[in-house]
Amino acid sequence: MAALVVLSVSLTFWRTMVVKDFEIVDDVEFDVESDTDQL
Amino acid sequence: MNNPLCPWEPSTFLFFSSNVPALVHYSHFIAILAALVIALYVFASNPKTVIARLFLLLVSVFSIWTILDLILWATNRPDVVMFSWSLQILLEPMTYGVAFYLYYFFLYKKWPDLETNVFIACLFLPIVLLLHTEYNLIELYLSDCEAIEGPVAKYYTHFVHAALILCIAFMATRQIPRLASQKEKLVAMFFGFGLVSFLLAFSSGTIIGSLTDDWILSQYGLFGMPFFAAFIAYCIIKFEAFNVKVITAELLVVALGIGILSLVTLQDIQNVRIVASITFVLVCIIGYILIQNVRREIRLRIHIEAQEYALQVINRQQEGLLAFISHEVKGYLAKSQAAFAGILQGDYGKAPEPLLKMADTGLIDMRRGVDMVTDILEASNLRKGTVNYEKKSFDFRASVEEIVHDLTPMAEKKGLSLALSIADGDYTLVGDEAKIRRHVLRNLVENSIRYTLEGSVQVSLSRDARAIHFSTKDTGVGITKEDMRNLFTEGGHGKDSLKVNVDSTGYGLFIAKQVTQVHKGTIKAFSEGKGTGSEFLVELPLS
Repeated sequence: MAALVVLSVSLTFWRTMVVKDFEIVDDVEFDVESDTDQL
Repeated sequence: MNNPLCPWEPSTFLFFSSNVPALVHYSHFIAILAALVIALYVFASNPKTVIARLFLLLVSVFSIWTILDLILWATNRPDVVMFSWSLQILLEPMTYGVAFYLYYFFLYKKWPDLETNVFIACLFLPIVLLLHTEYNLIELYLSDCEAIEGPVAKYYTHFVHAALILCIAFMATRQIPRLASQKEKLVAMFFGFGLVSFLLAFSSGTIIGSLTDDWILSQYGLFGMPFFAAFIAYCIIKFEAFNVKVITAELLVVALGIGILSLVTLQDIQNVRIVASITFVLVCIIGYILIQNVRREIRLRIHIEAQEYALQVINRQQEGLLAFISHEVKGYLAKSQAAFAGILQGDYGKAPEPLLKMADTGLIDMRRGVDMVTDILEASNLRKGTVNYEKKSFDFRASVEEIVHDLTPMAEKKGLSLALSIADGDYTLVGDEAKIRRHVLRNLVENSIRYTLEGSVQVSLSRDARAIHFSTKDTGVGITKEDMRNLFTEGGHGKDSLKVNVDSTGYGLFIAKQVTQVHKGTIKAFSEGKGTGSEFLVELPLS
């Protein structure tokens, strides 16, 4: 079980930190616009 | 877009950035510090117990989770958020798992069986296998650096938490009624309550955050952690009977220290008020417990002092009574001894043969009785410090020779060989000859003969420039390690000594040691154990 945990954490590190295999939803520009609208 | 970042500046020293409210630092640091201090204290008090180790593991897993949470608040890097968040999803149920094992060991005093371990492993398997996949974390929103959780993180981990809490509750309802004493039942109930509260306080952040989407509000959940950690520690300590007063004082100091330090770091007056209020509540609760403990301590001390005084009085009265009885008995025994001796010597005319036989046995018994009473009286006087010692020059060698000569018939009667070897030299010693002869020399040689059923007794005498060395070595019953501890104590019989020597009073070696020490000497015993014989060595300084 301990070996599985180590393997799992390693794979997670590989996915997130090395190959960055996840989608990023860029919603920052929308906020800036709405802020500008408010101004 | 290459390496997009969340819209705030990068974190400094992992934990600090403009995105982290001061309250978050306070809730996280106080939770980690207090929980770790308590767990380390319990662990240091008794590092060998499994419960202390498991408790430290529980707090350590919780602390890593909390550190990852701080990193999550501070960082603006999506990859760090995704990795830390994933690890949290693994660590949160792990805390529950360790808690389950902790409570199991607390109740059953053993590890769970194979089936239970397989069940726990099966519970964790989906999390471990799917941790790196989209079933755990799907994506990340850049505006607030928040990950979108998949079914494993969103639902399955909560299912594992609920299952483990139910297991703990099931264990409690099944095992607590079977515990022997009421106290054990109470402690087990308190411990279970503390543990479940600890877990719920831990998860409250996630639950509140998920339900309200207010992740600031969720930080208050962590404030409960030190309380429940302290509660669990109290139960562990109470159950293992460590010193609870010390931990209360330490807790108060830690709480005050963290509270004051946090006030220094805060700028917003609203936050200062919150922190000051929490510190005040902590100080009130822990301070109250501490004051109660100190009061109890003072009451106990007064009680012990009164008992000690009463004991001293009773002791003195008993000493007096013992000395009086011994003295009186010795008088009667001496008179009877004289009467038996008179019969044997024909002072009352010629006695018939049966009477002479009876008088002979009576005389031997009377002598034993007188010796026994004299030993008890002597020990009593030594304890009171009312023994006078003469300080005269005498020939130690002559004393040893006389004692060995006197006791040779006793050894021969038992079929033992009693040998004496004396190295050349002058054995003039200054001290109380009578007491050394009777209580040290005679006592040791006589003991060797008494406790040797077959074989030999070797008496040796030698000297060097500093001291005289007297020893007796026999092939007798030997001394066990257990008996060795009580050998020179008052009334310190060996476990089986009365089987071999029915006349033993248990005072002989105690008096021998006292007399030797008054002459600034030492007395030591050596034996490999039962049936291996023993050796006694006396060293008396010449000057």
